[in-house]
Amino acid sequence: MRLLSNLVAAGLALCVSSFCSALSYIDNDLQIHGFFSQGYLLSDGNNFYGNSQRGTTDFMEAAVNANYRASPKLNLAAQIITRDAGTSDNGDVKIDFLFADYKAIENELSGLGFRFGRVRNSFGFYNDTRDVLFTRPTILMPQSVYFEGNGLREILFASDGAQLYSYWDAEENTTSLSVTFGRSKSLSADIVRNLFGSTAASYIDHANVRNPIYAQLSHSRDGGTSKYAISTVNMQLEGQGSFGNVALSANGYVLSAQKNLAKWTFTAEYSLFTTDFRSAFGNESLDLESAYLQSQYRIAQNIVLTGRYEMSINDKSRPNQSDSHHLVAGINWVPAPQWVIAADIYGIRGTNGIPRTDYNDPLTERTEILAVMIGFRF
Amino acid sequence: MYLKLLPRPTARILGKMILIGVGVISPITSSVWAEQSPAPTITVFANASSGVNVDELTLSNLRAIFSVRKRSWDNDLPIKVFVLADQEPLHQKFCKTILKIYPYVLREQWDRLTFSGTGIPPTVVGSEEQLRQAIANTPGAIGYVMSQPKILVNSIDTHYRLFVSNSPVGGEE
Repeated sequence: MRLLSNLVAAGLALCVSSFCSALSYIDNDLQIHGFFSQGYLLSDGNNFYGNSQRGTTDFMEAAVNANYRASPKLNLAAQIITRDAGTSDNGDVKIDFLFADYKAIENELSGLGFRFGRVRNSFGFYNDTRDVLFTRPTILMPQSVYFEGNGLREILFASDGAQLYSYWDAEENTTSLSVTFGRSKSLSADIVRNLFGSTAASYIDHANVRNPIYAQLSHSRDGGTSKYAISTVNMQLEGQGSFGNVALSANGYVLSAQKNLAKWTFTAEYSLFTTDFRSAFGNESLDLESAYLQSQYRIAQNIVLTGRYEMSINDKSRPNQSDSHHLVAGINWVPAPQWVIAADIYGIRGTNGIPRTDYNDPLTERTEILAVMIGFRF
Repeated sequence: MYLKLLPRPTARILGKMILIGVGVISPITSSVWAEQSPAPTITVFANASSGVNVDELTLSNLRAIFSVRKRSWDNDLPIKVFVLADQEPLHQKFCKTILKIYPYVLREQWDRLTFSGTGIPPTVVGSEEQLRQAIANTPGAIGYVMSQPKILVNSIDTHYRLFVSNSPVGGEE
């Protein structure tokens, strides 16, 4: 049934696409784009997005977006998205972003502007388009930096608030800054369960994230041949429940570097999250540290091979008890500009990044995943 | 925009006028061809309404325009970028020799704009002829063509002016 409904969505996307490509060509001030991707996962050890140990198609992403130039200084942008990913996401249609973008200052070498509304958070190289198969290196994001399984994903990807952006161009390089001030928002029961675990979550009636702030400073040299970025986030999570209040304070930092060559791309990202958890039963501080190294090789203009090693430590004070290691090998083939077919193999030792809610009880320390995904864009 | 301020016939002619500049890149590899005719060039075009002499655009300016960081011309007219599809040889050559950016890196930047809503990516057209037409007919438009100079001169009509740069931005391949 799930696959059937996904296929119906794909059909709709295809119909909309022919209409929209015509539309975007007619009027350069309005562009409408979108994508649809359907995955298949087969795993051994733990489930990842649905009952993947038996093979699952419970992984689908689709979105339609519009970007309209209302005036030379004002753009309006919106995207609606539906994502189905095991019990992590249930296919509901959501507003992914919706904002007005006002470019206040622009001169020959620099610019500054503001976005108001729901904006994507720039965090690491991939966070602001993490749900788009065409923009990420593999079917599953590097779990070490772009947490999927532990509930942080939903908090990280978008904020309702204001975003300041700016850039400075020099002869051979460009530097950009993005700062996002998010409004407080309440968290769904699913997110709370993923964050705190099902036992603790059962005592929490209501939780919200208070005024998150994201900042990213990035620097690109020689037309993107070398890219560097530093990203930070500061957020406070508060929960009220039958055993009093709980509070989680988190500061995250990501260092990113990438080298782009004709055939090769090398990427490295390092992430450190410091967390401070306070409840009626006591306080606990945890530092999460993770990193990955990734190399990509273009065997042809439209075929990319990817290899990646990830490591993550859930508690820096107990590195040997809380570490996980992921090895990833993938191939990404673009048979036509609108299509992509990807296939990856994941070897995981440890449990970091495994979704807690996908019928994994208890978690085992070893997981292998075969993932295949086909994507269409317009 | 400012064309509205001009007398209508002047505005019409200006609107159709195209400034052609920046070029004389990439002598072709075939020596036979090189002996028979002048080397083809990649030429950056802008619709005359932009008020810009593309000959004066620096590498940094062109990267800012084609990466969609810079959104308006100095006269406040929005910049509208037109390109060919990623796999087209002319597009690949334009990226490598003029912008000096790998095509896949530029595509990643455009996809990020598209799917995070932070900018309007270039409009992709189906052929070089469509690219010429789009630039000729769209105020604020900019793009590129591969042209063999002699043929280009013959093919343009009296509405266009031609400038061939002596100082190519991209340098020789």
